[in-house]
Amino acid sequence: MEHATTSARIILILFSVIIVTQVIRAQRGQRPFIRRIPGLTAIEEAVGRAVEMGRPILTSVGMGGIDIITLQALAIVTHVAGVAARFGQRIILPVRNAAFVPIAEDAISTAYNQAGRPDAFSEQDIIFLSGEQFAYAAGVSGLIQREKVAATFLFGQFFAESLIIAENANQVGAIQVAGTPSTTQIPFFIVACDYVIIGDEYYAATAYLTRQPTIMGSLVGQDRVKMAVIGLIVLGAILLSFGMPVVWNLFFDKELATLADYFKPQGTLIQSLGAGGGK
Amino acid sequence: MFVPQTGITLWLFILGALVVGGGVFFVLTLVPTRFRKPLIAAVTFLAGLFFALEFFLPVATEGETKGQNFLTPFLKPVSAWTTILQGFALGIGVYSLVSVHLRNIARKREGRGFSVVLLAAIVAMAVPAIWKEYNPDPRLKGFYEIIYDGAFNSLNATMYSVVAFYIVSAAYRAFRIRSREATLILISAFLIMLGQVTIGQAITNGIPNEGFARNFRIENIANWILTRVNSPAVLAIEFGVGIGALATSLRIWLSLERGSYFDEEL
Amino acid sequence: MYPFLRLLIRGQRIDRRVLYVLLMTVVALPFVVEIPTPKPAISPETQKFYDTIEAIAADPVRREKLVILSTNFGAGTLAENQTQTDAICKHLMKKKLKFAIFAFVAAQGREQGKIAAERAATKYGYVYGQDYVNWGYRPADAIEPLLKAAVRDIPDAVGNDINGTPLAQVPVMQGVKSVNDVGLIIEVAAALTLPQWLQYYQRTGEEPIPTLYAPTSVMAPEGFPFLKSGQLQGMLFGLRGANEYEVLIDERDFGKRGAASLAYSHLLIIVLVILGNVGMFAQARLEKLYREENA
Repeated sequence: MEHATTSARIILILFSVIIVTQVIRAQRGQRPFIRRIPGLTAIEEAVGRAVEMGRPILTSVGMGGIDIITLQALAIVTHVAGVAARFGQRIILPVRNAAFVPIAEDAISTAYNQAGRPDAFSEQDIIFLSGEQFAYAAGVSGLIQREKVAATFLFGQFFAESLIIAENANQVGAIQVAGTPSTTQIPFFIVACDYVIIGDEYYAATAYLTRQPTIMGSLVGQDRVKMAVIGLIVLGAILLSFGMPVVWNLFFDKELATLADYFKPQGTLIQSLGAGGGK
Repeated sequence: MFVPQTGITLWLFILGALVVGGGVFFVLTLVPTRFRKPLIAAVTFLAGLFFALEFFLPVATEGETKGQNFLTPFLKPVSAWTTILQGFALGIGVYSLVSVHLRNIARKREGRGFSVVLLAAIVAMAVPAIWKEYNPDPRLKGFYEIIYDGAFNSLNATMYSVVAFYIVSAAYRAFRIRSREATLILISAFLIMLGQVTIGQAITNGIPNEGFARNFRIENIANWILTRVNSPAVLAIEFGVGIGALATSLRIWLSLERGSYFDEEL
Repeated sequence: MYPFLRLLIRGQRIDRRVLYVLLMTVVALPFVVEIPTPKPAISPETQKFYDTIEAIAADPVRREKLVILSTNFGAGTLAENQTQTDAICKHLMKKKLKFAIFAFVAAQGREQGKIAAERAATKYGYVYGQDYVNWGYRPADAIEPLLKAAVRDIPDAVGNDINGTPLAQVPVMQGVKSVNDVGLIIEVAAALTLPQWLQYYQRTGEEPIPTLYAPTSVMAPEGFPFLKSGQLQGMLFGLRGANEYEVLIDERDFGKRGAASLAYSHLLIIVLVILGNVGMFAQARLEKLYREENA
């Protein structure tokens, strides 16, 4: 739709208010409960394995720009770095965005400093490879094969390069934990990785690990909006079964003139393409 | 309202923009540290507010401005501004790449040979691509095509095709009947793979494609799995991702983010 | 019994280099040797894709409107997306529909669309500028404001064509001003670009614009919900869809050879997976026999 209809205005503003309210409440001290995400229990196990084998850990924050998904990935990677730093373990972080390098260096070095092992951190391990998708994939694959990494943590926005990276890590025997909101890459991670965090669990994972109030509040707000959507779907299905397209019309994209119009069928979204169907 | 200029007027506008832009940057550096975050938040809010208001404000229902509100005519210039900003982003990307690798070479870091190769590749690709736009010499076009179609496109396509090999080794390793779920994945994968290809479809070609019997044709079974099983699952995840995108956008627009990167001194 | 089981166990330990050579052979062979494959069964979504273009071409009002052919793919997905684009261009030209090529995610998309159009143009006598135009590439992050502006004024919002000519001066764009002058959107995609059309353009005019989708097969499952809801009128499922579409428009090309490659590579994966599972069960059986023997 080019401009909001009345119902779109109400629904979107309502959803936004729900999310923002939860964020502000969390920032003011209310801490919601978040269940443990199964993939995250593997972090300690994977780091421990890497320490035993004496081989480095490779992490990736994906192919996104400097956006929230990538920053959330960095938050998870920083947590991994904190665990690894306790053992003086080396973390390699190849990035595809040169502007992201100082942010990553700052975050990872802080993790090592907080663990009391600043000596174990090396700036050389935060590597800018390339902005090109497959050049980045080739670079990461090369790193994995040369360094014979013991564990990989792949979080963030991934595209076709996901399987290239994951399969290379599998070939060197690395334990792998992956998480991405990109639905098309989930099947590839599932076949190649040991633990996968799917879809919404990605947002929950960052909230769980970082305990940042904003992310936790946002997660609760999102869940409440999802419950509202589920409720509307169920209600709409029931009402439509009795011939009342009220909920359908809430989401219909034409401005409806009267309240009674919400109870009338509005036709299909795309009209028939039969002869004479155009204006 | 924003009329394209030409000739000397255009250059005066460019000069004026540079002067004004430089002046604004200078003034921004004078802003006290404690006001920088609120200033950024205010600018972010105003920039997002334009699109929010333009979408949410009611529109005229008749007359010359039917379907528009008072902000709609500004969409075109804002669109042009965002395109220009993206152009600068491309330039910044190239600058970052070149500066990082020049630093590698200057500091004699390990692997600096690759940095030399990369910088040479940038020059080899960029110079003919730009030059051929201004010089109609067919040899330049041919040289560019060798580098672009022959080298770059081929390398890109090759790396993408590597995925096919990895799919084979991953599928061979992962599709084992170790549990109920794994068996279910295996069977549905087989049915969909066979349903996608002509040889698989030929297995059930003898079954008529009408009536109840059509449900046993392999392409229809594969289609059923894709549309009735896979599709709702994808839709459910997309709902969550979409609501997550709404939440993320609100957090950025209203500058609600807190945490190490967002709370740093500027 | 033991030697037989040991032979079967080898099926789960095939060296991956052998797998890669087998795959390479199976994929390349149909391009070297003509291997007959059965005609494909036409899937419902491909049939709808074809029928939509046919219906638009048959409608005297809709056929005069512009078709936007958005080619958002690069060299990596040529096998699927280029094959789809080639077939789409042939169909559009066969039906004498005017179209505009446009790319906003992959800059290469405008080149690939151009290649497809030029290849088909020589056969169907299409002339650039008169019968079709290439709007070129616009950055992905600026596409939403551009589409919003293009609702009211396409030539102004898009600007120039790939050759730098203002769109208002290109003959095929005469009479094309706003979203109401667009009759069809076809999105050929290797990345998630469909939502931009659905959210910002499809339903902003007097009537919704029919939209067709031609993604890679990895992304195709994401298109089914939109097909179900009526937001998409048809879809080409990767290379398989392109092959079926070539059958429908009676222009067999790369889709036919690619489909043979696809078929045999799928069969190879199925055979390998079966071998692996047989090997796994044979190993379990052998271990059980050893245990019974030693008990």
